[in-house]
Order: sequence, then structure tokens, then C-alpha cells
Amino acid sequence: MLIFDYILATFDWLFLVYAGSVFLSYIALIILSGIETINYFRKNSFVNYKDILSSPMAPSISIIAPAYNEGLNIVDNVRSLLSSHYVNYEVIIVNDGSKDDSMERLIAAYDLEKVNYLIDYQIPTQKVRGIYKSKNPAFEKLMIVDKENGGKADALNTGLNISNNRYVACIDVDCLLVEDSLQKMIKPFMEFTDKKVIATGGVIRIANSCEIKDGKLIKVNLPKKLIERAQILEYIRAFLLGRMAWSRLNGLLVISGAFGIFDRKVAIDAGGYDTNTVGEDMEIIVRMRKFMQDQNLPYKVAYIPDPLCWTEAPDNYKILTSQRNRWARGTIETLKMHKDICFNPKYKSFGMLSYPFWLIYERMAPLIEVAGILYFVVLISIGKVHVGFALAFFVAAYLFSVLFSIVALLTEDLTYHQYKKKEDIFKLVLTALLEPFVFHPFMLWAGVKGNIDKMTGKKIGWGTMTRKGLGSGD
Amino acid sequence: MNLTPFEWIVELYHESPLKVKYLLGSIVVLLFLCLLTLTVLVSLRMKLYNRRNKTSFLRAKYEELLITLLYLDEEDFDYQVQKDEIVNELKIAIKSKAERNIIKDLLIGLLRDISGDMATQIQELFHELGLVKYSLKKLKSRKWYIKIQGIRELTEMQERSIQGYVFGLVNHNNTLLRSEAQLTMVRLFEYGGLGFLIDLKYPVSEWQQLQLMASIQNNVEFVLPQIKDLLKSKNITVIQFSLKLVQFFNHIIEPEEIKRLIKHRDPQIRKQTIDIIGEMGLFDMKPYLKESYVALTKEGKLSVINTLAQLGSEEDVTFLTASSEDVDFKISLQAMLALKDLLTQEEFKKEMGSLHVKNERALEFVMDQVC
Repeated sequence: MLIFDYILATFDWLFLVYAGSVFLSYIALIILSGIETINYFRKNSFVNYKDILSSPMAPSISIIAPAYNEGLNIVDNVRSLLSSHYVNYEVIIVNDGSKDDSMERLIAAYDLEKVNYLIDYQIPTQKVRGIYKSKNPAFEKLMIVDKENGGKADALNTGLNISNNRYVACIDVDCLLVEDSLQKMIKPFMEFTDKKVIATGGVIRIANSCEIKDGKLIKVNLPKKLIERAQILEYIRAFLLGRMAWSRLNGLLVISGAFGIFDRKVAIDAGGYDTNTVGEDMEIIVRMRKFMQDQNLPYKVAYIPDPLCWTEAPDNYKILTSQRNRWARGTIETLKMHKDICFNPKYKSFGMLSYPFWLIYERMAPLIEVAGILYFVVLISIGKVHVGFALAFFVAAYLFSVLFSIVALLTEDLTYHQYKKKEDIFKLVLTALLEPFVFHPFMLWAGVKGNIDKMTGKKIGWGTMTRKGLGSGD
Repeated sequence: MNLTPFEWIVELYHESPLKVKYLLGSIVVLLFLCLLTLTVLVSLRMKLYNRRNKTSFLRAKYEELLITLLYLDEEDFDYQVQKDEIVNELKIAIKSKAERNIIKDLLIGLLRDISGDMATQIQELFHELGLVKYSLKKLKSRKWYIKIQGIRELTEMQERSIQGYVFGLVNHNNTLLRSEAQLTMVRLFEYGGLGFLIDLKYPVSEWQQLQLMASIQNNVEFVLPQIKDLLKSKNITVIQFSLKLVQFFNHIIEPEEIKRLIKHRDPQIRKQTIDIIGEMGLFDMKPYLKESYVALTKEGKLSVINTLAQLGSEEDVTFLTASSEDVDFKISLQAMLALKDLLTQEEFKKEMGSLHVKNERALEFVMDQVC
């Protein structure tokens, strides 16, 4: 019996130490993000982005937007992508063998015709059926690629092959880019002389309930549904605190697939997007970093915290858990694929800090959390639970989660202050208080399900999301 | 035994095992931090809301005052009285930091939108109100971002007395301060504005080059410095920027200089020089392009082929034919496309027939275009 008690006490301490390390690491992230945010605002408060708009020196960018069965909104989405203020850019829409009428709609709306175009297949992809350009000079920046279905990564690789520009912006076709997003995102590539910027990540904000007109964001509104508000809170935490802190350490392992700009040559030299993972956005960053470090080339993955890209978030738990399941699987696959980086001093902070953090606090977190819950359930059932310990543990975890959310809200208010109505802040604080009970369990389940699906080898293709369309407002 | 809640908690704490003590301690700290951040958040939100209202009110008020002042008719009998009244009101307002910032921003904003006499009037008003004193004070700050604010304000107001001070910062170790000083040199001083490039110790980033070029484009009185000296700089980025100036101003460079730059150790400089040869139609330089071809990077080789596509003649056919057989897809394709434009349809087909093109798809693509 004594041995059993000893084992239980050890488990208690293990969970406590893990939770303590989570607290401490997140506090470190808060501090680092604070420093980086101040730094970012000081450095960029003097920048005149208008200079780049009229400059012949503005670097060329290809916006690559893969599309699969997006017929409902594709015409409007493309129009939104064509409305950037940047001058030197083109839009490449890659239709990944959609089964709906996406192509027909695009051909009709943009007066497209098939053109003779030779592709340099630097990355192998599925067959391209045809390339279309508009007969209307107003849409000369637009190029539509029709190809056999091969998945999102394959569609992005096709875009990389076709682009002749120095930089590529890989985005989700349904995303709404703010007009000055390209000039802000391209700046880091041009400002470093001692290292090469290989990619820049942007912030993704949730556009549900926002007012949108002609592909432009008019007014930011807070959605009524708790599930949408919880995601807003989650995105603020992730983008304004987490990624900002990792940017400070030059340790970003992921750039959201919804919007990121890459150095095209480095992306191709590193092998392009991996078509065998559902986490292609994370995997390509890890591989590009590895590629640069293997060659001992100084580099940086930059990050812009301005709200430049707005997207529609799932508004029901079924689609949300399916989305998070994909994200969890993407993380598992990427970390497994590049396990040689973990605690490998050759990769410096990338191998000794970023990778282990992701492994321990992102990859393992849902599993450890569920193990902890099961542990307490077992203890209760055998009458061995120390009520005080269990209760205090959950209260401390809850308070920390609330604290982290409030700090994120504080950062948002001090910086971009997107939710301006007086009552918004109270609704968001209420969301922070309720989220651990009503939202987090679903995320936990999605994380565990992602692990189970990965272990059982369940296949998934393009993430399906029932779109309601942006711009309806409240 | 009747215990108060506080006593109960204290007793619970003392009776608890060590791990629970840690957790209880954490709860107290976390609870305190939650309440503290929540209070800060709510009060900040209120403060922001009030400040926003106050600022927009003051902005509208001072905007109206400034516009009235700038449009006062000097012929009016009470012109001086009205002017003094407004100036005095503004002088009182600028004693408050917040109001001073609003007035200063309004003046700078107005200055950007207008020119001529009105612009001079705004600059004079900036002096008259004593705002220049505050901007000059910022130059003495130990904080780099305050210094930049000061430089920016004084530059907007065309305050040329800061030349000596700003020139001293063009080689500052703080990148942003150095960049701002360099931009000010170009914005304010048409003669010698780019003189700092001669002795520049630090690299000029692409972003900074773009900003310098934009400032040059906006400064109609700008005079191009002696490019020859800049092209000999030890600072590679200075040469790269100078070549951009050459392209922008269609400046003539001596052939000897071009020959030297084609062989420069920096691939970017080599590529820029090759592009200039094409853009300026320097036919005499073609032999040097071909001579340096082997040592070039892929981008450099593509630039040579593009240049020959622009300037090519019969004497370049052999070179382009050889390049068509290159293993690199793009080089081979570009060379074939250049040949296609250079030769007649029959000559091209004949030439292609004798080639050993490595990439069949590229060959088919070009042949399709011919037929």
C-alpha cells in the first residue's frame, strides 16, 4: 500500500511540475511579447508605407490562393484579392480540381481565355489542365490555374512553379486582405542586411459578424455566439502574445496557412510544400529553417502583428473540432518528420528551444491534460483522491487561463484596439471566464482525436468548411 | 469551534501538504493578478474612450482655428487683431503636451497637402508658436525614437539649420536613427544630399534604398552627386544603390567602369550592370558580357541572355545557340526565345534542328510559337 501511495505522490508531483512549467513558460512568453510589441511600435511608427506604392524598386509578389469547391464565393474572393494597393503583384488562383462550378464562374466573371504557358516543374505536382488569363486589361494581374486534384499543398506547389516573382504570398482564397497588407508584409524582407528573411507571417483575425463591402472590411463587430467569441480570444492570445514572443526569439515554427509571404527561391530550394501532411503550413517553415541552418546561412522568420488578414471562423462545434483535429495532426506529423532537430545543438535555439517547446507544450499538452483528468477520475473512484489538491489544482489552472486571456485583451486594447464598443470588453472578459468550461473541452477532444486519427492512419483531404460568406454583419 | 473564513483558509493552508501549499499560494497570486489586470483593462478602456472623444473634439477645434488663421485676409482692417487672437489661443494650448501634439500633427498634415505661400505660412507659424523649440529639444533626448520624432518634425518644417547635427548621425550605430538622418539629408539638401554615401560605414538596406529613392523623386531640386566616386565605394550596398540611381536618371557611365563592374565580386552588382547595358543599349559592351558569362550566377546568366535578346545581332547567334543547350530549364528557354526573335522562321527551325536541347518541353513550347 505504501508503494502505491508513493507512486500516487510521484504522479501528483509530475502533474504539478508540468503545470508549473507551463505557467512559467507562458509568463516568459507574455514578457517577451511585451518587449517585442513595444519594439515593433517604436520601430514602425515612423514608417511611410506610401513610398513603396509608387516605387519602381518595390519587389514583385505573386499571391497564390488555392481553391477547392469554393464556387459560392470565389468571384467575390478574387475581386477582394485584386484590390490591394500594392503595385508590383499578380494573383494566381489555383483551382485544385474542384468538383463544383468554380472554373465556369471564374471564366464568366473575369472573361478568361486559355493561354500558352510553359511551367518549369521545379517541384513535382499533379498535371495542370490549363492556364487562363483575362481578356479584360483591368484584370491583367489575374492568372487562373486549372489542375488535377492533389490537395492544398500540391496546389501551392503549382503556384510556386508558375510564379516568376521573387516573393510569394500564400493565402486562403476566402481570406480578406487589408489593402496595405502586402507593403507591410514585404518590408521585413527588405530591411535586413545581415540575414536573409525567408518568410513573414501575418496575423489572422476573425471576420464573423464584421461589416464587409466590396471585399473591404468596413467595421469590426464582435459576434454574438460564444463559440466565435472564444475563437477571437484564442486568436488574440496566439497572435499577439505567443507568436510575438517567438518572433522576438526568432523561433517561429509556424506561419498561418491563411496568410504568409515566402522567399520563393528558398521555398523551392527547400523542396516546396509537403503533400503528405495536413500541416503543410507548419512543415514548410520547419523545413525552410532546417535548410538554412544546414547551410549555415543567417536567416529570420519575421512576423507582423498588424491585423492584415481577416477570415471566417467555424460557427459550430462539428466544423471547429474537425479543423482543430487537422491542426493537431499537422503538428504531430511535422514534429515527427523533423524529430532529428529536437535537442540537437546543431540547430541552436531552433532545436534547443522552439522545437522542444512545441513538442512538450503544444503536441503533448492535450494528451497530458486528458491523462491528468483521467488520473483524478481514477483516484476519486478508488477513494484515494486528495480533495484539497485536486480542487486547488483545477482552480489554479483555471485562474491562469483567465489571466492569460485578460493579458491578451489588455495587449489588444493597448495596440490595435479593434473592438471599440464599450460593451465589447465586458463580453470578451465574460468569454475568458466561460471559455475553459464551454470551449476548451472541445479543443481538448479535437487534440486527442487528432492523435487517435493519426495513430489509426485515418485519411483526410482538403479541410471542408461550410461557408456562410463574409460581410453579413450582425 | 467557530472560525472566520480567513481563519479557515489559514488553518487549511497550515494543515495541507507541501504540494497543496504551493497551489494555494499560486491561487492567491493568480487571483490578485487577475483582479489587477482586469482593473487595468477596464480603466484603460474607459481612458481610451474618453481620450478618443477629447482628442477628436480638440482636433476639430484646432483644425478650424488653424484654417481660419491661414485664410485670414491681410487686407481686412482687423487682420492683425484676429491673427493675434488666434495665435495667442494656440500659444496657450501648446503648453499642454496633448494639445501641443494635436496642433503639431495638424500643421504637419496641412503642410503635406499644400505648397507655395501657404506652406511657408505654416512653417512660419510653427516657429511663431514656439513648436520648433520643442522639436529641437527632442534632438537632445537620449532615446533614439524621440530623436527621430524631432528630426522628422523639423524636416517636415524644412528646418535646414539642423544639417550639421543630422550629418553627424548618418553613421550612427542605431539603424533607425541613421536611416532617418540619411533621409533628412536627401529631403532637405538638394546639393550634397547624398554626399554621406561616400563615407558610409553601414550597409544601406533595400528598404532604406527604396525610401531614399522616393525622397529623391519627391525633391524636384535634387542634384545627382558624382556617381563615379560612389561606384568605387567599398560598401557594396552603396554601389547597388548608385546603379539604381544610374538607371533612374539614365546617367552615362564610362565603359571602363562598366567593364570593372561586370566583374565585381557581388552577384547583385554584376546583374544590375548587365541590366543597365541592355536598358541603355550599350552595344559595345556585348563582348564583355559573353566573356564574363561563365562566372555568373543563374540570375546573372539570365540577365545576359535577356540583354542579348534586346541588343542581339547575327554575331550573337552562336552564343545563344550554345546557351540553348544549357541544362537549366530557364536559361535554355530564354536563349531559344531570344534566338527566335533574332532569326527568321526558316533559320530558326534549321538552327533548332541541329541542337541538342536537354529540355524537350521547352523546345516544343518555342517551336509551337514559331509554327
